[in-house]
Amino acid sequence: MKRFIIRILLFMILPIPLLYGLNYIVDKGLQRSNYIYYSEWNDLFAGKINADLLICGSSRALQDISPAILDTSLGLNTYNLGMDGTHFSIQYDRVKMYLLYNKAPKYIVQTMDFTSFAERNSMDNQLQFMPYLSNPIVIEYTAKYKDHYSWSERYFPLFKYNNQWPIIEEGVKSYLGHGMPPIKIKGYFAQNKKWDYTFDRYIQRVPYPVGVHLAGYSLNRFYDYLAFCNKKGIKVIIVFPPVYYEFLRYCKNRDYILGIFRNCQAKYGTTFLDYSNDELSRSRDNFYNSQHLNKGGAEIFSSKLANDLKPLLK
Amino acid sequence: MLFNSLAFLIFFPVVTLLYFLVPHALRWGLLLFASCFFYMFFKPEYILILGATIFIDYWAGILIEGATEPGKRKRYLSLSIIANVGVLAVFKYYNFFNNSVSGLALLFGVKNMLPVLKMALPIGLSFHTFQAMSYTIEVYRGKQKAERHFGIYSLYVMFYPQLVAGPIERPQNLIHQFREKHSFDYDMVMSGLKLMMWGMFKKVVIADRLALVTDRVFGNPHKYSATTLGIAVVFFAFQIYCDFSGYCDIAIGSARVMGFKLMRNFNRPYAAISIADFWRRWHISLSGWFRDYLYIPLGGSRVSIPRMYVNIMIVFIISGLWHGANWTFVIWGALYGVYYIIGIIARKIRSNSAIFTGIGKISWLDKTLQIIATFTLVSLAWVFFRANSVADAWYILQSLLSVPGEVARMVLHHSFVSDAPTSPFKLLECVLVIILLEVVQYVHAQKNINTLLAAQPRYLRWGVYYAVVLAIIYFGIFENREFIYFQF
Repeated sequence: MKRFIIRILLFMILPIPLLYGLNYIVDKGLQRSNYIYYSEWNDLFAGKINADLLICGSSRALQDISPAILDTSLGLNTYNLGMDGTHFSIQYDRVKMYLLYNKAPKYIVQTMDFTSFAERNSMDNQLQFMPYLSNPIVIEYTAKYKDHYSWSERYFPLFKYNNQWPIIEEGVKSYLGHGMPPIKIKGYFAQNKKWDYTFDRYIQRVPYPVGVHLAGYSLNRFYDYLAFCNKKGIKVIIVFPPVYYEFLRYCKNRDYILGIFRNCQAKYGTTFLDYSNDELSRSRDNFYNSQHLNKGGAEIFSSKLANDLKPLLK
Repeated sequence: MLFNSLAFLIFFPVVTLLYFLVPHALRWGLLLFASCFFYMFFKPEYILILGATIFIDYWAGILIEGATEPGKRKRYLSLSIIANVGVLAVFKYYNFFNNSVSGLALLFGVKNMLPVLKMALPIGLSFHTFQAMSYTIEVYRGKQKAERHFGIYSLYVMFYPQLVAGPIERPQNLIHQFREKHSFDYDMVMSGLKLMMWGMFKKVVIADRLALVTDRVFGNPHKYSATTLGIAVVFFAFQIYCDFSGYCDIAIGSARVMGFKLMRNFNRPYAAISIADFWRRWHISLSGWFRDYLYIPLGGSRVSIPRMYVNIMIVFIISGLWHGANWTFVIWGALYGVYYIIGIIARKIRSNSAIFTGIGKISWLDKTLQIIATFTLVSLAWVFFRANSVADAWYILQSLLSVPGEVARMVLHHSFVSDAPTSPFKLLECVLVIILLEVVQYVHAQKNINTLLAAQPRYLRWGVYYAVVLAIIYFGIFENREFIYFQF
């Protein structure tokens, strides 16, 4: 038995330095990478953003609002912290983490949509924090989600990158100084795409209006967020970016949801800019699907938003 | 407790270490306690059902052996079988028959008043009830002495490596092993660990990777093209094989580490040259069970030909029902019955046509064609096994007829399946792991891989072991996926 135990221990111990070494290289590489999941987190944790105006929200913030246009028009330092495919709760967490590493912005443009309060208790993209699992702040903020990080993901070398070969490759390349070039500009991810017909296929499958169930937990977090920003002296402008007009009739409780944003004005001093049925919404040329503007549409919308923000930011 | 879980990663070394540390007289107690813990990890209350059947079968065995009158012996055996089949009937089949009767009654405008039972199926129920039944039947036949030690008998039914998904052991092979003293044997331990490692590779690297495709396609077949359905059908054939044989490898390996020898349950089933050959290679412990306890008592092949066909159909339909309480499983079983009978009837035609076409002279070609034909029939049958409903299964089978046309169009347009539920790269990964599996199995069939490796220098051996272990960790799918056969 002694021989067996020695051999097994040897077998297990031998690769450990190599695996931890590789884990270190991938983590460090990704922390300086432009990979789509990490570029904003890297700026955020490095305290490099320090924006006057933050754009927060889901993919509809990420892809619909160009900070460069807002910078020029408003004369402010703007940064887009939009997170693809997320619900509100994790967006709020991102703002809180932002404030721990960067100076507080004067303004936040918080984009909302019909699914912001959908019933979900996940962080939506588990990969986004992988290089930062040794950061206790990340662990603390993600602990409440059902897909929070396990012991093995946190401590077992490279296990968190299980089956993520492109990410490992990018980590190593970035560590060696050959990472991918930036694909976002100040967090904005332009979509140079044409209408992709997913909406047309969707309404063929579901040709009737559907109601979005609003999770009480998300809604409470939203109110908490507005109170938190109020307390910090950050002015929040709630923005509902354009959606393709035909989509509106397929969301059963759209008026109720829009009402929630409108009603925040009195209690939290927010402003609500509703572009859900804007004239931009009329043409498919501005969108690549019913929820997201393409590059052209986003540029028009960003200019329009900048003009509307001007009087509010004085 | 799942074999592919962190809990088992702790449970297994702890139990094994304790097994070798405690005195021999206490080992049965340790293993029984560990087996109860293992089973109760799934749903603790179901241990009561298991306990009740163990109690009944234990006493039935003693009473059968003690009874001198044949009538009494038969009565005790019947009691044991009724108890075991009764548990299966209530927990596994009641709702199925109830739903079927309701459907039939509705056709005649009658409303079925029987209540629906809302309870989960105890895990591995079909496996341990069959293993328990084989004990009382063997005692009845006088081939096994009744076990007087309640703990050892309980362990025979509950031995954790094979408790929830087999292999379905026979008392003659297993019970005496609990009394034998197993000393730590380096070669046996290493051989067991290697088998476990290979089983885990098959489960998490191959089966669960293929499941990412098959779950989506079989979950909503109407969404996919014929080619994608075809890919999913082939993938499922390998998924279920790697899932179940992977489980058995881990079970046999973990028992071997402690010095126990469990029976082999698979022998390269997709290398079978006929359906009969397939069933000699697939789930061998179950096929043997049905042969010895159902087919032969029904008369087997020593009856008139029509009666033999009826026997075959009975065995395969019951085998289908054993797998699951659903019409899809009944059809799956019946289909094998039909395959089997056609195989017997067409035997002569096949050999004549092989001679006529000259294929029979080229043995490798003849064998390859037979393997392909068998694999195709088996894969088509799996459609019923995996589909959510009979309607879905029919839809998939009908769609498969369009595969040649679609493939021809793709070749002409230099395109690829556009609706695959995953990226072409991930599909390629799936194909590569299947090829790897087949290569390893082929090599192993020619010369035992362990013997081959043992002849290599240590760096090469360890390199192979590291490759498998690291592939499991970094290339495995860890989504807490249960083994498919747990549901039976």
